[in-house]
Amino acid sequence: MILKELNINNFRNYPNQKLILHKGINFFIGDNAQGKTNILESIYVLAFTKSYRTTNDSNLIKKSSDFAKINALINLNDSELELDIVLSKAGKKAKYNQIELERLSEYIGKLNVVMFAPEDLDLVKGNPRNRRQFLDLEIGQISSEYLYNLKQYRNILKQRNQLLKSLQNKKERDYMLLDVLTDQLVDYQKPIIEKRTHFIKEISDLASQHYKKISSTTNNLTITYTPSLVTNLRDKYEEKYRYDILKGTTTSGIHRDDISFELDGFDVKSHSSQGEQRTLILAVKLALVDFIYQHKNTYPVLLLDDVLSELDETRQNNLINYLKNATQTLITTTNISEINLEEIETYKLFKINQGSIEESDTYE
Amino acid sequence: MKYPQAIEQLIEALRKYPGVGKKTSERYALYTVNRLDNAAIDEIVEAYLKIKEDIFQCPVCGNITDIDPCPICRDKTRDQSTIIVVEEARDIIPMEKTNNYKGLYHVLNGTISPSDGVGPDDINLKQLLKRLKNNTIKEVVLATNLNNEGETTARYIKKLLEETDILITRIAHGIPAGGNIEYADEITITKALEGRRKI
Ligand SMILES: [Zn+2]
Repeated sequence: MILKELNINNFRNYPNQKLILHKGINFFIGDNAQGKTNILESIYVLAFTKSYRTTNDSNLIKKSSDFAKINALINLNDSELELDIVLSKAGKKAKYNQIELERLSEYIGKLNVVMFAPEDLDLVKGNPRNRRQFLDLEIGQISSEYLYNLKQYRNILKQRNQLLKSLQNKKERDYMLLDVLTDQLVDYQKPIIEKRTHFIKEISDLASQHYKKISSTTNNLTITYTPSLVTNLRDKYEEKYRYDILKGTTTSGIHRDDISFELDGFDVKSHSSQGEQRTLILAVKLALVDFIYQHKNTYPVLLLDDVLSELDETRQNNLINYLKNATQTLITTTNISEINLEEIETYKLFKINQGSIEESDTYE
Repeated sequence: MKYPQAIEQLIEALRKYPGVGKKTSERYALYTVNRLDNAAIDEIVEAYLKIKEDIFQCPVCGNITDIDPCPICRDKTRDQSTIIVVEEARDIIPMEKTNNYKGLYHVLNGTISPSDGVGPDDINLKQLLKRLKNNTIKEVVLATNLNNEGETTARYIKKLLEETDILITRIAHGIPAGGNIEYADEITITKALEGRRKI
């Protein structure tokens, strides 16, 4: 899919901005804090209906405005589609071809986006919650059934945790309701484990290839899914009934899953430099581009926020040379002096200064 | 400004209804004061009193009734071997409208939901077990809603009855009658496929 036209109103520092994007690489060049990231963030919000930088939507609305609006025209397999997101204090609305969708879960997946942001270092450095959010966000892009099962799982988990707490004070314990809620928890959990297993398996190989290409090394990257539970789920829960009651919470299940990253067998979190970690995350993101293409038969829009700053010149040009033939990309950067623009051809430059955007054919 | 005490009392009382907030209850209370004459107010008071005096839950099935037992429970021409278990009395009405079912009902008056503080003892379950003891019931149809709480409740009842010879069935998920498969969402289709039957 190609994002042809982006219109944003009252989003962050932009009162009213229209952008016609190139189907190749779009460079957004400017100093820090001029509003480069906000452009990418608006596209992210358009895809996922929420931001990765804030959980409070009112932070996205321009000061002294009542609402923010993001609109885009997208080319998908020779047809055009239009998406709208309106954020206001009263909530958010999502429109697909001008028709408002009742459930946001119906909307997610209409625009496929892969984003690389500085915050993504948390994927390696952060806690397991960051990595589970990654799983849910990316698998959710290709499977609404996954999102449905996840929602139901969380609902049952809440019920079960409450029951475990109430069982703490009881002398005579009736386990029948715990049995039922455990069954339901297992039922919703199985397809989620299956999807996560397949997902990691698919992107691990792809990411390893990308890592080699960008870094010009032969290092093997492996991503491993480490589920909290693998087999005989029902029995494992039953073995832990007493423990779970003692803790007053469900101590195992997909809400305790994790993933790990290794380079040539060494854990990346403790053995790799920040530069290697960034390259690794970039490789994972490029793997996601392939993953989405394989499942949706169309390439996602790739958003790269400040990706060049910590890559050396070789890695920068390796990346750009790969991207020029890959997928529509938006890159923010403070400068592109190390990029060999003559070799790219299919690009557009946008210069950003204090929230005003100027198209430019040359970079000087 | 504060209203006279009687009006404040009415505003407070009307807020007991679900979905009625402070503004709505104030509007209703003032409407009562300004627009309703004595005859209209008497009519309302009388209707409320009648509800209080005449309406109760059927001690057999939990249905709303003004006679003991309710008309369904006392109708001996109905099939005494089947019970449909529902969450609320209002669920009976659409089932009766079909005119296809001639058995009995049991109203749980709630669903099991620990996070709302509702356990198995807080719904009309003990009475159901009592009804099943006399061996005339051959089938229990679990018609609680097809959401998580409804499913929890249905599975719990199934476990309670595991040792008996009673046939336990569950209403099916599916594509609405006259519905187009093309327009059904993925989850509905998945559930409909799971619930497929031999023809
Ligand atoms: Zn009755």
